Amino acid sequence: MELNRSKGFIISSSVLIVMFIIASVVMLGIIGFVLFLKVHIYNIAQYEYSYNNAQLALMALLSSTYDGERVSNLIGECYAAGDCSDIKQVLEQKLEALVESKCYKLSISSTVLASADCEPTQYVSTARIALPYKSGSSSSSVEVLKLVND
Amino acid sequence: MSNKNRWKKGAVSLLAIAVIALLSSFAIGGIIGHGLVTQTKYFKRIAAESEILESINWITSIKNALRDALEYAFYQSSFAVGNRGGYYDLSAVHSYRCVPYWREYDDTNYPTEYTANLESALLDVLNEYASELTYEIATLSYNSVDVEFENGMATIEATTEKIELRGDTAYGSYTIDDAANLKADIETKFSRLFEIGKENFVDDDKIGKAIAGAVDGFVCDSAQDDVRSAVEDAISDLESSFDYSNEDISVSLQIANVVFNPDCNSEVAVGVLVKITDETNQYRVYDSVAEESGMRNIALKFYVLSGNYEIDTPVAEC
Repeated sequence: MELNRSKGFIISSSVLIVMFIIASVVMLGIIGFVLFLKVHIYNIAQYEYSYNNAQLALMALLSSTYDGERVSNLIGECYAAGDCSDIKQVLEQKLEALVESKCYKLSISSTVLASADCEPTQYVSTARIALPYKSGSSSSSVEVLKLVND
Repeated sequence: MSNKNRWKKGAVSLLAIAVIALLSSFAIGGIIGHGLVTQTKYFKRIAAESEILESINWITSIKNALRDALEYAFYQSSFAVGNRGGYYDLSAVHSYRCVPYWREYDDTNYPTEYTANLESALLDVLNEYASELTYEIATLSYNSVDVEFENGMATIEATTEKIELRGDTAYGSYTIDDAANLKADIETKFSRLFEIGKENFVDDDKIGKAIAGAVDGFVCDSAQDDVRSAVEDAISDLESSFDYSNEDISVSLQIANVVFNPDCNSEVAVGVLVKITDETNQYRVYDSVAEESGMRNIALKFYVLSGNYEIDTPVAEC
């Protein structure tokens, strides 16, 4: 009788321990999975937020003014003239204020208009800008301005 | 306790464990399933929001670019129409290499519709820009451009249908549209150039009078060089007499040709290229004559043919 009670106790205890272990593993799994989801979604949301911010930074830059002239106009004029060194500092000052990471590169085609002392790769936003008119058939009066920032 | 009871108790325990395990697996499955559904919803929503935001940003950037395009188009069309003496289509007037004659002796061809001609040129250039800026979507095209000159300013309004962008997201398709009408106020002396041209060379024939004064006193046997020199001096004096420096406007007169009556050297026909230039600013425009882009002043050019000897008006294609 006593032996049977001991056996029953051992069996019950073993079952409880196994269940506890299973429950713990399952709980840990669930917590891990939920955490993974949360981090993953947070990263995606963070990327989208930053990406949209990069686009907004580019648009804010283009619609801002300097010395009574729209920056988009200044860029169009200097790019058409083949020399944007005069407005490089203006662009860099504005981008320093607009880009949170302070790491950026603004370019048209292969011409870099402004950049920080780094090589940004993460977010690429683009906008088309009008240039002074060129002959319709041979060349375009529109160029794509690209902002890359981290 | 009998063996039968023990087995019964063991079976009940196993069944209970099985039921608990089953319920647990349902619960875990439910939680994981809910997580996956939530994740998918988030992904779909983030993707859709991102796409719509991108579209809104895209339309905003196009509208910004169109504002600049309107200015560039205005400078370009002012330059082109000014160089064509206020005409956009030269087929109805006598012209020499795209420059029309405003005066052929007593006949005048003043472009009363120069604002409408400018509007036509401006509409064409603006639509080139609009087409390039919006080539991925249904091409944006402006229907009309209205220009009004007042107190050294041009008020320009361009009208079109709405700019529209359609897209698809996981939640379905969407359409974003926005008004794309443009309005700008631009400082310009374009209409003033025409006023100066009209009052000096259409309402009055100052070149004809200068030539008449220059040849007065010469006779048929006078030397052609003397007559030519007198005419050149008279035109030069006339040029110097124009003083619009307080308005930053210059008037230049360039003799294009002097034709003598073969039977009388004191009778001449003189073609003069008149150029009235706004010296205030230079703009980067495309010069179709030089076939290059460069900084140019906005100017008004036309010919005046005058004198006491009538010839057929020299004409040449552009």
